[in-house]
Amino acid sequence: MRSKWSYPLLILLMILMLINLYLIFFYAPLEKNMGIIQKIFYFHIASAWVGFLALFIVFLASIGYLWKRRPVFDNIARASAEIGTIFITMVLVTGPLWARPIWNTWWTWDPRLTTTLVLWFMYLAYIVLQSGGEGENRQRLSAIYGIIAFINVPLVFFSIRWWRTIHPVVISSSGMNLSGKMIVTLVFSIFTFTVLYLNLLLLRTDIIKLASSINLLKEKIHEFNY
Amino acid sequence: MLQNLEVKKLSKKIGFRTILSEINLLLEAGELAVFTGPNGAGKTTLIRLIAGLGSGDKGEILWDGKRYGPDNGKIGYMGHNHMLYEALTVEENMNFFSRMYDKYDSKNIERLLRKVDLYFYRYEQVGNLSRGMQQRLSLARLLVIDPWLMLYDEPFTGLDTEGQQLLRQIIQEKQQEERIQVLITHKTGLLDDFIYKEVKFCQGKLVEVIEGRAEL
Amino acid sequence: MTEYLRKIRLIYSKDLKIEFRTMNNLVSTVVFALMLVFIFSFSLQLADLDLNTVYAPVLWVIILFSSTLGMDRAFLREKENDVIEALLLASGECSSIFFAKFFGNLTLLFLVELIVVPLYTVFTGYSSSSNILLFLATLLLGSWGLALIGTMINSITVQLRSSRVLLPILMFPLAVPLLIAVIESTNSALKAGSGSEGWLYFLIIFDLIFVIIPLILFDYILEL
Repeated sequence: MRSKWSYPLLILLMILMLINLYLIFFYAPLEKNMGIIQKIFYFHIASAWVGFLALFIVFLASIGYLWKRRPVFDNIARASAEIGTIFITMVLVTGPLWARPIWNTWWTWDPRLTTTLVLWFMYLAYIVLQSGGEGENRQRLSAIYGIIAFINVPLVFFSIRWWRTIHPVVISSSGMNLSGKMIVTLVFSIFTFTVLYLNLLLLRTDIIKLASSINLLKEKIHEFNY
Repeated sequence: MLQNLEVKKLSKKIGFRTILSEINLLLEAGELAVFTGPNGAGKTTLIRLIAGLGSGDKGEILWDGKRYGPDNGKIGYMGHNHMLYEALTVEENMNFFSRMYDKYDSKNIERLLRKVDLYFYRYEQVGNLSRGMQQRLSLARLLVIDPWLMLYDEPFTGLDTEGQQLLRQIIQEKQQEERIQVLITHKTGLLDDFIYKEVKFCQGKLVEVIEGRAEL
Repeated sequence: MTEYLRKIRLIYSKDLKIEFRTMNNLVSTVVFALMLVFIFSFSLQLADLDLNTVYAPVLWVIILFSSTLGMDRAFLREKENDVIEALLLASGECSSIFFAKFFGNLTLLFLVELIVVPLYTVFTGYSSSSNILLFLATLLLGSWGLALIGTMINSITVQLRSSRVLLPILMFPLAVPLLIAVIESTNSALKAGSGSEGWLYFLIIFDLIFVIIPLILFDYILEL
């Protein structure tokens, strides 16, 4: 997996990243009201997309693990959760950076933002769970939590949205007019980030696999010594 | 009544480590199988899989040719620990487990408690009993559910001489009742006067089966 | 089905018997809840807030916190001496153990609420006409959902070594939708007249979803 795919994918990623940066900073026009600040939007949305995609992959890999009991599924779920956490952290950092100059506030309890925050907490909980035990037990139990966490996301989103329609948010988060070029840039950015995610996922899964085989070797050496 | 129990190509891995590999075993009514072998040979894992605690990666366990289901009868399992509620009394433990199997009968419970010599202690909390007594109560629990298949994991450890004698007696009775019994033990000497099938394990593999063994 | 319910009832009454005999979990949870009530009502006095507006959120935070303490021990007594294995063999269907534990936790929550709610109301000096029926329905459905999540997460955490703080960490994110719903519903119950039952429906849906999840997943959770 490592030798065959990682280099071509890495080169593809580098090219895509450069094009993406060009599109964001030179191709896409400046937004009239927000100015240069709006450029953060392309990173923000793309990170959010990857953050949610990563949870979906955790969900699928968890089902796969419970079904087939192959450690590889657990490795994928774990890698995906770790990467997802990083991207969601990026969303939570870029969000306030963007919101502050535009809406004059760092944080707003908007459904999307709040759901993202809850998602971040679920990722943290998942990682704590993954590091809390060992062996088959840990893998199985985190797979179960991975599934429950995914089912929980729509519940969180709709409850917050409903709560917010009853008590409307003072600051509306919509109201940006996207021109055609902006949409093209956004879509390209999302695509690039997805490739970035896949790249990281392959690498991380591989490292986890190597780490567990090192542990296995250590155990064998330990047994041999006795 | 259970006529035969068949383990077919059963394998289990934990991580990359093989715990059991391709175990084949056939046990018939009335048969007593004794699993022997060094620690970590997979005996306990196999007995637990037969009990239905956990599942193998490959292969299957067949009860009269079928997979285990609710109509296949009951499994009696005696593990390393006594598996009893320490905060409940001897009698309450017996009542609870017999009711779970819908086998509650106060007369029968009294008879069994007398048999394992615990009737006098029936209002005592299990936590206050000695290890040997707890083990005996565990035996009584096994008997009250009247299982078709009895699995014992190192039952002689923790029992005193009388308890061991009692267990031998129970095994003999169940053998006459044509139940299938599986036993893990290092003390095969205690089974001298029994006819049993010795199944030797080593590193997750079934090494040897010695039929109709009776060390006379 | 009756067989299934019979087993649930048996395990449940066995748990109650042990709980009332040892009292260790019930007493500590109730005392903890009392202290939370005191700490919160007292600190709110210092803030010079309109107590009527913060009544619902603070009440539910108290219930949430005390529930995490109380439910942390539901599966513990099955773990001692591997009783869980005997119970699994006896129950046949794993999920009957789950629902027995769930009813146990629900009973515990009700007992806690029975003490917490009146006392908290007295301490905060809450006085306003309210829709008692809606309030009780919220309390019932909210505790129901909380007990469901708590039991499920506890069955996971009890199998891990460092399980002490794990329950709240895993549980709070799942409790977010529930928390919003119960607080909103309590709020509308307290504002008599304007009371809307909308959030009750949300709570029912939430509770249903978390009944279905363990029915499907509990076999995998309790696999030994």
